Amino acid sequence: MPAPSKPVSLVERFINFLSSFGLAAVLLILLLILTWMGTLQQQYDTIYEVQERYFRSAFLVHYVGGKYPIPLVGGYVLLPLLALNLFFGGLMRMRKGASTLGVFVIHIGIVILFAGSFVEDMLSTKGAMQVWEPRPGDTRDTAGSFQSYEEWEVAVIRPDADGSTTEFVIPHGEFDGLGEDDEARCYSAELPFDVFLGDYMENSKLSRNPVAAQGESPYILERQDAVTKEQKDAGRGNAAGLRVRLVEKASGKVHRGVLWGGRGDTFRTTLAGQPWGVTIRKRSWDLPFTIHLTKFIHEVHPGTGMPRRYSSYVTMTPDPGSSASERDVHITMNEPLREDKYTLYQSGWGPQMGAPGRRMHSVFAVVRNPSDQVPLYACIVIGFGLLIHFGRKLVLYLKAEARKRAAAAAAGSAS
Amino acid sequence: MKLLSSSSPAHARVARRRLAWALILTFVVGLFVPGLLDGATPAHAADEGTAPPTAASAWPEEVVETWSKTPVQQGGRTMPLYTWANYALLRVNRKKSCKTPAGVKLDPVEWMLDVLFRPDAARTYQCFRIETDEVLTAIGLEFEGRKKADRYSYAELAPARMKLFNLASQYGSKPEKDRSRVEGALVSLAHGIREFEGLTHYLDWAREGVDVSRAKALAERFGGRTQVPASEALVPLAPGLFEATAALMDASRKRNPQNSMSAGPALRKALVPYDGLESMLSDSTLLALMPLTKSQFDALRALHEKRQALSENPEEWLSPSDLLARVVLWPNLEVAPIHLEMLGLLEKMAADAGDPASFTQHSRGFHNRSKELATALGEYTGIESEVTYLRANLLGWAKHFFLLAFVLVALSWMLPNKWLVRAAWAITAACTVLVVVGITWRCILRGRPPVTTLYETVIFITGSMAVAGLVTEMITRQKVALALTPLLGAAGLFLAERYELTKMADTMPQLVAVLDTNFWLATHVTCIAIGYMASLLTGFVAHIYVLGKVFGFKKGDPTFYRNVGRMVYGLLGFALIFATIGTILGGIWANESWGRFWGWDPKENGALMIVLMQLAMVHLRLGGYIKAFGMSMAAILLNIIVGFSWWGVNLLGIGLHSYGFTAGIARTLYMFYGFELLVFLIGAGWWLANRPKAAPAQ
Repeated sequence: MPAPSKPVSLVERFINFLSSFGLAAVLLILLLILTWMGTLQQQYDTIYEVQERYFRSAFLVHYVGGKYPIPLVGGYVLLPLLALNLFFGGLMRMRKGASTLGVFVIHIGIVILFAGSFVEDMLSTKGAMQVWEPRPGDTRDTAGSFQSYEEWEVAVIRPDADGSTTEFVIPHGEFDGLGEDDEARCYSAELPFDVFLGDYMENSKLSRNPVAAQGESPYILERQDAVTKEQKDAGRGNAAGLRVRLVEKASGKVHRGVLWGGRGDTFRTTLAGQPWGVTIRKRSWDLPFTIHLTKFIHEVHPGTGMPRRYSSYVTMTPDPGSSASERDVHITMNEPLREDKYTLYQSGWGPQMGAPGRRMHSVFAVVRNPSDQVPLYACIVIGFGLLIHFGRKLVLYLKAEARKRAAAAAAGSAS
Repeated sequence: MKLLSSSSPAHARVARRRLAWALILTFVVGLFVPGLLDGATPAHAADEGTAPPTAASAWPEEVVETWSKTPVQQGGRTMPLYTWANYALLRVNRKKSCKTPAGVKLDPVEWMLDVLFRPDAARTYQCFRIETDEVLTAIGLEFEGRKKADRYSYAELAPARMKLFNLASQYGSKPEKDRSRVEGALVSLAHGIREFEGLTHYLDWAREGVDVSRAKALAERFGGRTQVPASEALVPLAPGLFEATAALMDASRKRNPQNSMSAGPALRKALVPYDGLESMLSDSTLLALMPLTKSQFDALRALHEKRQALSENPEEWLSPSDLLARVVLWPNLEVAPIHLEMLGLLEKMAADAGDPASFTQHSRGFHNRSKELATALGEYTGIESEVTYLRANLLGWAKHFFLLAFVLVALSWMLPNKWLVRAAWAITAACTVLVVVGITWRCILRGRPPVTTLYETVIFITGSMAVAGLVTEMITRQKVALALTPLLGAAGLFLAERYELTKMADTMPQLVAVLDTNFWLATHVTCIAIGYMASLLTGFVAHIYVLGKVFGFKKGDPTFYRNVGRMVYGLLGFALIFATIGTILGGIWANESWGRFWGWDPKENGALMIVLMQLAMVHLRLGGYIKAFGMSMAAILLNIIVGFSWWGVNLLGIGLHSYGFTAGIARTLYMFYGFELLVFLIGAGWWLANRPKAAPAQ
């Protein structure tokens, strides 16, 4: 009589399911399909839009040929499930032994890769900075901050008596998605007014308001379609815009204006004799050092328009108090500058057309990524694991074949 | 009645043996007789001793040799004229040889010499390949008795050139991938005609000289002569021309301050009094034949450093047109006597095109000066080696002999014979060596790792597949890999040839700035290419499993299928190692170049898709959801994914890897997808019909 099987608890069943090969295979195939569709969609949308829609979402609908809907599971569901499957199936419940050592190491490497990607997604900051070659009287040859590619921020600026300014910054998340009838109130004890923001437009056009009443902004914003992939490829970007209302805390007096990112203008007003400005601009981060561009070199291969070399010769000056020292650096393609957790890459230049003797500027992509080198470590671990696993398999196979041949030869000679 | 007994095993064996040897003989004869196989056989090799010499087209051997090794600067690099002439002819004729009306076959340099020095004769050569007569209809031409796809001479097409240019201008504004086949052919033909016209007029100034009768001061300088060679006229002309051109350019700038580069029209106007010299102002990008002198190079480099040079690269060589423009526009740059000498030699060659002895002497002189200048700049290295490489045509020979090896293997199935198998082994190994030598030779010529362009991915993948196939055969000894290796070798080299024909451009081009790193090219790109290769090899071995099952091949031999199944799994493991490491290395390179590890760029996604498919296959196998047949079916799908990743994403024309964009390869790719899907569907149909039935309930 067979022994009665031990009843399996619901939790155990769930863990079994989570750690199964079947689930792993299904998730991998779904991720494959998602990646394929996301790739094809890049013909029509910008890479940023595709990333947001396909890989930074839970579910989505993909339209084949723009017509036939296919529901897909997004990256925010697939990747965590895959991580759980990897954890339970590939690390916790996997049989440990010489035969699975390689696979275990591979899984450790993938966990490291996942962890690195997670840290990058959560904690990294990315943007760009533009620096010009030196010219007397122009300070644009030195920069100590960089701007986000996509995110905006609203800054309330108070000019101080000593010529400096004090800024109160409202991050993108506070006003992103505000509709025509919505308003977000932003306040600070240091401000003599509350700031109300509303009617945020990802892309907008500014024009003069011919019928502006007293106290109203002389400008109006018109909502525009977000720039298309083609426009973005041609160098155009969105110009965000929104409505602003400053309400004095003491008197309740209202100051209205509009903020437009297309030109970087500042809405100015005066409260109790103190001038104030409010502006919308690309989100900005300070660097712990400044970059001074000495010279930019752009060369094409002779007789062609094909780029051969982009190189920036810069001087990196650490902020006061830093233990690092000033140094000259050459930044070029595949040779970034790494300094104090930040990495600066050569990413662009300008002006594209111009007469001989023109003054050039250089554009650097700036990244602060705490897991910068993690993929390299993961690659080493995974490679090592693959070699152990498949190398062992090969050796075992060759040994078995040699044994078979020896046996066949022995049988042949015996007969 | 006895005749009927021919179906007996002995007679069948004899018949098969006769058929086999007949096939071998036919193939071998076909391989070596020109014309029976395609035109990949080197033209000069095929022609030796066969072409009837004619006074009009037979250039002395030394002339062809010196011009073949004369360096030119094209596409940003220094190459032998032989290379450039190859692609110039390929662009119009779709093959690297052409025939004169007398039926004499010309190699690319002979054709180029005729175009430059005997343009009237060259205009009668039928060297414009038109793939469909719809192109002729579109430009209003009609020819009796010609094939749908045929070759035409410039003289035949010239009457419709204006209509052709108008249509090409209209269709040229469309994105390449949106053009119909005829529209694309019209644009391509117009480019070919323009390039051909540029070349036929390239030396008009040398043939015609300069009439200075309208510039009295100059006529006096030349002792009253009114007709002088351009090489003599150039220097005395320069000061006056510089002032005239500068004045015209000033006037042009005042009219349009944005237009700072209007030297061309101004120069053309300034040249009006010097009848004949304006013909020197051809397309300056056409054929840069004259290397700079070392002192010019240094001077231009210094100007470039100070941002005073017009060009974004100070290393540009000179065509006669450049020389005239630079002499006039940059009077502070010394005119090198050696350049004037070279112009003089071109003039003498243009005049003596019918005198072999004189032409040979001047060709030698021109070549020696060109070589001397290029050597001083360190740019002659590799020129002669490149000519030898191209003439050796290692890949072309390997393609044919791979086919021969495959025929031998196929015959060994009909006619089991160990010598056939050994011969197939030896020929396949020899072909593999040819491909590996070819790849290594290219690496030495370029100073780069083996894979830097899409073309090189094809030959590298073919070569490494041949090596992997032979190693697999050595390990497994099933004759499966031995049958596949020569077939895939031939197919890969055929694809490389087809790709070259589609691109019609140098296969050793310069690299864009982001690719200028031998470390990453040697690690990431090579790894990924091996990953593609191993994945494809897995898929092709899987075809044998699936189709073998479907068609009942070795039906009673389960060991055979067990071994093939193991081979699929083993190759998949090999592929997984390289695809995974290559993909991650790609991310690390992207992190070094662009500041992010993963950007969901199409090429990155393609590589990821391969890895995901391989991982899914491994997990399905380990979980027992699929066995050897299922693995093989999945490996066929893996082939489609590799096709998409390797070529498909380039057809999308998007992403950071769009420098690999390839139009014209779509049809081949879709045929590949179709074939793989067909095999998959056949396999699926067979499985549905033969799957184990569930036992009936008791």
